[in-house]
Amino acid sequence: MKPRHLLFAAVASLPLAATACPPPTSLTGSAIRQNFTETRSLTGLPTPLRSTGQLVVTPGQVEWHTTTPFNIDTFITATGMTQSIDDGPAQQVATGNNGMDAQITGIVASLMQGRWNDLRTMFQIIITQTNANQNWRVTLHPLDAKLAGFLGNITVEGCTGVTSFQLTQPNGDTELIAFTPAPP
Amino acid sequence: MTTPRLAAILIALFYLACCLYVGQRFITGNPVDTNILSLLPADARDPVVNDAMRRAGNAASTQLVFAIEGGTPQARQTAADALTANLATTGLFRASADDGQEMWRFLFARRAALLCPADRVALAAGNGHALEADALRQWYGGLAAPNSQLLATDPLLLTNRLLQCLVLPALPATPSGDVTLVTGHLTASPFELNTQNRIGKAVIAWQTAFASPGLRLSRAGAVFNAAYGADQARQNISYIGTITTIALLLIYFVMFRSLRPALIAITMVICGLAAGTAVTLLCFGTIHIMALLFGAALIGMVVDYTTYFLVTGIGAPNTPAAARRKHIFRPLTLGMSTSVGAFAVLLLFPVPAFRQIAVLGGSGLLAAWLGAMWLLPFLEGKPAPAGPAACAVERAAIALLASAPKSRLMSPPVLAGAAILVLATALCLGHARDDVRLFQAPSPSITAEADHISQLTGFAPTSRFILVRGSSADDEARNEQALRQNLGPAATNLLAASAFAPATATTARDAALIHTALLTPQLAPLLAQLNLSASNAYASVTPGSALPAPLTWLRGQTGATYWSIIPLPDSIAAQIPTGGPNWQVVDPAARYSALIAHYRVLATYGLIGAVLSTSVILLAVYRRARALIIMLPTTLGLVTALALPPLLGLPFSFFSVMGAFVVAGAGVDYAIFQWEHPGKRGDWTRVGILLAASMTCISIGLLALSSVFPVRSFGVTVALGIALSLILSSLVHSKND
Repeated sequence: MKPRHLLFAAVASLPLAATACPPPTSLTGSAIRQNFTETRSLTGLPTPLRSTGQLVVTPGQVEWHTTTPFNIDTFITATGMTQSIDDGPAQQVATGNNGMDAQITGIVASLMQGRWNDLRTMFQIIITQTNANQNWRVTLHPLDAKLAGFLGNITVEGCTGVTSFQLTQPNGDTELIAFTPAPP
Repeated sequence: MTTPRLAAILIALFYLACCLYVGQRFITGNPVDTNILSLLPADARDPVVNDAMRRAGNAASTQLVFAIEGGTPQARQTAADALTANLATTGLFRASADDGQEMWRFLFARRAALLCPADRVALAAGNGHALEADALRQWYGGLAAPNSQLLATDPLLLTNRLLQCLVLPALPATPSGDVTLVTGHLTASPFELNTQNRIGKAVIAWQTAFASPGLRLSRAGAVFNAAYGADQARQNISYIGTITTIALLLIYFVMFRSLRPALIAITMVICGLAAGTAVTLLCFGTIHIMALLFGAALIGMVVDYTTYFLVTGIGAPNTPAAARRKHIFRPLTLGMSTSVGAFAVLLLFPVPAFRQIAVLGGSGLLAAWLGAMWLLPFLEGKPAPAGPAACAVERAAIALLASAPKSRLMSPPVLAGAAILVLATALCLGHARDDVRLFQAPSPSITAEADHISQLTGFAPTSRFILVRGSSADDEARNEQALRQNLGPAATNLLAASAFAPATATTARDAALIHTALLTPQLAPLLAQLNLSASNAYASVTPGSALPAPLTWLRGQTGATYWSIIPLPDSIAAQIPTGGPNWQVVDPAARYSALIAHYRVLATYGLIGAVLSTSVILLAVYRRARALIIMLPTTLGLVTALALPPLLGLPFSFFSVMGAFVVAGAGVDYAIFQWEHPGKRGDWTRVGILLAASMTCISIGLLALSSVFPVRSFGVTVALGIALSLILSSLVHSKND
């Protein structure tokens, strides 16, 4: 590498050093819009299932819009979960989650917005960040067996915002959801 | 040991055994039933409908819905979990979530032999690919994705489809806004006091812990109305018992100078009621709260025999007890017999609570009579001297009862004419009440909470249902399927047993269709897209005809008839015809009301029969046609007691006639005494009559204050009838002189 390039690289890295990762407790924001890549690794399935789409969190509602390989728009609110396939009519989904839709809506919104205190009634929360320049990690262990059976353990990673979730189910299934900023 | 002494000891032992038994039953468990349905007649004309109505009523009455409002979603969920836990610790509550798991297991076991109606159509049209594509989307799909256990057992996610089409529509709608629901059902009768107490305590404990953070709770469920009704009845029992006891003490105080007679009377009342309660519990296993309420009112009747006997001691203090007993034995025995006979008539009507009242009243009076005749002479000791107002009471009794009224207006023909006039006016202007929905005034606050939940969720437990019959379980299932098909879209969301466990032929057809139109052509492509090898996920299925535990109440068998219930929400009822081959819509409220009306007419004829049969008994005992005059006061009292209340705003009812039976039996006692003890020698007898009737009127009359219409109607009729029977008994005296 030429010295000019090294200089350029050093200058380019300055803003990164200036924007060191704040602690996860300092996250803010009420509305979230992120692109996601979801990778589902299911026990017994040789190849993970990968999908992409967009997550939009607004007060009282989570929209999980998978665009590839299928176009499925899922809305989760306190009243339940609906799906519309290929822009068709929204249909209610039987989630079999024992009426926890409202709870999940709140959990997802709280996770994306870093409202950890709201989650302490439901999870044991462990925050890991060795120094201010590092990404942080928040691990959530559900306190309620019913919730643990449905969600499993959750690991959230991020810096200035949430960059990934990983859900680890008791049966070994994992779900890694990586986020990147979406255009407004 | 002399025979009377032996009899006294045996009666005392009997009383003691009854007290111990009743005490043991109430200490070791609560045998009190508070079910308002026990006040309604059974449908003896159609036992299948009767069984189905009971089943549907029980299922509707065990449902519970709580709505928690306010706070954050997390706070509400925490509160909801706490409420569920509180209710679960009672051991009497099963959360809907637990039912959901049971339903899942049931549907999973039948996933390759049961179809949603829409999927049946799709597969028959060769559109199995749609189901396969749907499953693939779900495997990829976000937060609602299934877990890997189903890859091996149900890769086409057929269980989810069944859950979606069969279970979801039957659940209460999840309300919008800041509301979290707790739903479930009771595993014990909501009409048992034990259930009401434990559920009530669980809710209060939750309110203590969670009401302060700004959360509001609304409740819906029959258990809360039953608890309210039971609480009202308990209050009624308390004030009736208290007032009657105070009245008893007061009367005994003014009649006797000693405290001993009052203590004896209270002891005899307790023993008589204990005996009646013990016999009722032995006969029925439980006792209805309205029977207990009547028991409180029975104090005034049970004490009569004691009063009659003790009063003879004032009139003839130097006469031995045995002679005084002999003096009143015949009229008292005849009076007891007619009273017990009147109560026995209540047994003819298939109303559980009134049958209990019949046994309680009849056995209580019999026990009190036994005690008054053979135990009381030993307890009495030396006859108590007359009290401060005994002479005044005697003068009043003589003035009221010793001679026929002088006025011509009070002559029997005029009185009979007046009674007929009142009856005719009542027939023209009065009205009857048979509508069971008007029998008990609900708690305004509980009703408001239930209405609020109904608005939020659409939850409104209905007792109306479609009843389908068949000659076998499979025949019934076929009939129900055919009915649902004929009803078309109106039946789409109805909860029906045959949707979960269809007829054998349907199950076989569905299994074949799933195999040929879905598993054979679509399973391999789906597995290939998931990079999975061939699967035998659908090799083992266990269709069977059994229903999942939460739904077993939908089917039943009465005799050789197999039947099923399809609950019919009010919102859909108007779209459904009233019946057809092998099925009918049953509206229990309307049916019970029709039955009440039917029994009201039947009981009225029965009452006429009872009056006639009592007349025959009197003729047989006295062998003189003139003895029929004994029936005149009671007959006039009966006519007036039944006809007057409707003119004053209390409708005529089946329960008025039930009360009239008691008047027919007890009211005739006074006339019998007048007949037996005419003239001067009957003066103290008349004091006994006056006191006994007063006690009965006070205690039974207090039932008129009850908020439960059947009890109020019964109480007013008895009190009015007894009062008139007493006043008019002087007519008998005048004829017999």
